[in-house]
Amino acid sequence: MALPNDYPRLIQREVILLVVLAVIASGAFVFTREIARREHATSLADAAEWFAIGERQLREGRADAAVGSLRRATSRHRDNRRYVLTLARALAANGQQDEARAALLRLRELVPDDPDVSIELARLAAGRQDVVEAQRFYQNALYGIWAPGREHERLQLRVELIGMLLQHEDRGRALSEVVALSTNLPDAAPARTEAGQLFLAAGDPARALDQFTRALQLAPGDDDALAGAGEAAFALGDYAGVRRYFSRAANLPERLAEIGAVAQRVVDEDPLAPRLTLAARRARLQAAVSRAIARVDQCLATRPSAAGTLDPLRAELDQMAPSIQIGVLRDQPELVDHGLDLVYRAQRAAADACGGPQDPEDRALLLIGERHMRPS
Amino acid sequence: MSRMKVPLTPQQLRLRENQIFLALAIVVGVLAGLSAVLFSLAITGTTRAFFGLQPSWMRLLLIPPAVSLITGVLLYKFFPGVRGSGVPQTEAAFHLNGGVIPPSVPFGKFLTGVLCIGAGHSMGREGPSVQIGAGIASGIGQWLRLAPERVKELVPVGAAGALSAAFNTPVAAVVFALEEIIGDMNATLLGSTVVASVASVIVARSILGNEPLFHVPVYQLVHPAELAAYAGLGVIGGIVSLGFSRGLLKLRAAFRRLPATSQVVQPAMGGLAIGVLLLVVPEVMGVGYDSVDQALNGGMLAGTMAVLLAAKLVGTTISYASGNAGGIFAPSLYIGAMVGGIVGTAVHQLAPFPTGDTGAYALVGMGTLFAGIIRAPMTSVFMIFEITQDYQILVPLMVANLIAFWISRRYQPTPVYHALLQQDGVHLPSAEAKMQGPWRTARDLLDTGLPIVDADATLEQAWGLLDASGASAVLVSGPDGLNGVVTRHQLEAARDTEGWTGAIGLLMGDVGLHAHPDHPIDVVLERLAEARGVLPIVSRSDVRRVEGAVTSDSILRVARRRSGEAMPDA
Repeated sequence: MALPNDYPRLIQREVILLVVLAVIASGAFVFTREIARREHATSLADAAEWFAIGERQLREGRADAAVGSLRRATSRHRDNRRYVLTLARALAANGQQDEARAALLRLRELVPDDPDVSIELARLAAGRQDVVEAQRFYQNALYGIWAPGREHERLQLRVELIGMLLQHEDRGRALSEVVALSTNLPDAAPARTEAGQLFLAAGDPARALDQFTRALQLAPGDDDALAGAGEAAFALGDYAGVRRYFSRAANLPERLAEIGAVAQRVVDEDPLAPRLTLAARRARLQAAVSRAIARVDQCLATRPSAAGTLDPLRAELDQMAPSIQIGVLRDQPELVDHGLDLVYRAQRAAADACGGPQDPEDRALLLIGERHMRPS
Repeated sequence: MSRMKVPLTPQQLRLRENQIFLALAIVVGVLAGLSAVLFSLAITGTTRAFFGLQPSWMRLLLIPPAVSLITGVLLYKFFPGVRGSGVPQTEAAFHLNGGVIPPSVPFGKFLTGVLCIGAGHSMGREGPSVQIGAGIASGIGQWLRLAPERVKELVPVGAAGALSAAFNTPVAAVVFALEEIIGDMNATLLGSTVVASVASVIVARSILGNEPLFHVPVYQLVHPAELAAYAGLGVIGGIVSLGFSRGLLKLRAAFRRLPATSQVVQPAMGGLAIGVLLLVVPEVMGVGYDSVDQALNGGMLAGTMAVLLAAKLVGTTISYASGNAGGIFAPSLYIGAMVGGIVGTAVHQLAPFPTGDTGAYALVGMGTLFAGIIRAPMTSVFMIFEITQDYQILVPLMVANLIAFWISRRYQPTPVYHALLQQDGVHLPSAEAKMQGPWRTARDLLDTGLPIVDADATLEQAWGLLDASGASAVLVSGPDGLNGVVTRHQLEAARDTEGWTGAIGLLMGDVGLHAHPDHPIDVVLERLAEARGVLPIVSRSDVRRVEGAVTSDSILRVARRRSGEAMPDA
């Protein structure tokens, strides 16, 4: 196809017009960007307003409405972690656990080290009894990047994790978390007391007692620390210690008052306690045997089917009772051990057949038996 | 030191022209992208201005009809060509008007589109963006006084640029321009549409950030049996697509049957219905991507999605059929997300095998409805892929898409965009017609009946062959193959001056000018004009082997034959 004669001139003209167009496009770009900037600012303001509405609705317990408002907020300001976190809380409160989790997981992709996101995910997992995932997210949160000044929150989070693990009977993991907690504690009585209580709950009364002791060094009259120390001493079998700690406490909860009473009985009624006169030892053994007979009789009355186990023990107790005399004990000191062993076996069998003893005296006898008879 | 100015050769000038066109494609892409961004921002701002954050019931009820009264006048008096989506009009401009779009169209579309969608009509912004982008491109082409074919070529370039920015999906925008606007996936405009699309998306991202249109869940095909569920989604999607397309066409036809004088108030009639609908289901207002986002992330109950699905179907049908300005892209995605979400929830609850999130079904549903309604299955696949950036989703997406596409095409042979144009008295060429153009390459025009003579044959011998065949030229071959071409006129002139005794080799023209059988028709015609009426067609594998020739006679002969074949259909 032949080209027109003025083709080069036309090309030149097009180049000039193209430059003009490029200038126009640049101007349009600047204009559009400015409009977009303003629109973005307005959109953020709208998002903030929706967020405030949503937060209010959530506080008022209107989770459904809050979800709608917070969704509007997050759609206008997608990167705002506070909005997304609150939306996730609203979704969870509204029973939309999966959606809450999905929203948090998306946010976590953006801020993987944000502890708050992991905390919410952990709480969601804990709520649906998924201990493994909950523990994973709790750990992620604990080892995330915390802003300065949030150390206390971090400690409390570990406490929360320990609570979750204890709730699910995972004492082993709970104990390792308490150990980790205790290494980072501030040296203050309340913190040490709390750690002691957690050690107790996780089944480590020795470490618990250490924490309570340290707390008492820092605050000697602290009731909570005294109560905890007494409880730890009880778990360790230091019944005299229990009495020592409890006696210093101004106020004890009822539960601990009962423990104190039992500990007192253990101290007062142990026939094998050192430095007793023969008469006192005889009297304590006699009382223990009598109490064991009563306990067996009570149990047989409520549960006759246990006669096969309890009747022989009852017969043994009956046979032993008359032989508990000072003269016999002087000649056969081992009778005290045999008697206490029989009392323990009778109490144990009654407890197995009829449930744990409620009476402090029976509980004390069991503990005395455990203290002396259980193979170490 | 002065330099001698060397004039450029035609080849160099053509290269320069192509370079300028490429640069123009960049500028068009940038402007189309900016227009799409600005259009979106304007709609958001207008919606906020009209409704605020928490609109009262009176606003919801009254604003759509009140604004539609104004847009009704604008659409009736000043911008009659900008009703509805804009994609069909763009296709018509490309195929039927040589790409010429009046400069008032992009302006009018912007204004009325912003008002209609901003006033709560259940319509999309992407179709109008396409028309605005194409209109800007065409306007620039006309302003630059480009050749008509160049103006035409700019239309899909502008459309791709606009869609690229509107969806933040540059590849899908290119595919859409080829698949829907041009109707040919092998179009030669691929390069310029890609350039425009990329330029546009760069500009849009530099303004709005590289934020995806939707935040989507990570997709997983949890169990192979899920593919069957996706196939089911394809069937349901196809049926819903069909229902939507037919409902839209029927209601629009009903509006068109109303007296012509009512046209000015028809948008307001639709607006009143939308106002009532917004009172009950405000979530169908405008584009509605908030709800889509929610469905994609599994944040909706099946019952809510069913309500929104029904409301969107009704709302979009009314808004569009009553002649407002706005598209059906976004509504297709909205409807698809709801259908997918409902199906996903049902599968999740009933399937005996483990299944993925409902959000994944909503995502596939979006693509499925897009393929079923818009009838652009490849665009749909690329669009969803670009949104998710996840290969895993392609297989279920293609399964569902193809089923929906097949159902929609089987029971509604005319695509909705074409059917809408047909209601306006405009008949676009079908996809098949475009793909099977009357002549596509030199092979289609080939005259294989031209006689071949040796170079040492006499003029008389050559004339005898020519006379017997009735051809307009003879091909002269030598020991090395084709030597040249001698036309009937040359032979007649030689006979008059030199008699019959001379060798034909003396008359041979230049054989350098030839074409190959796969050369496109425009190349053939261009070369034919320079080849003195006979263009030899030689094999690509052996240029000495002549396969025939193209002459003006052969073109006419093929044209007559083709028109004769076409007559029964016509």
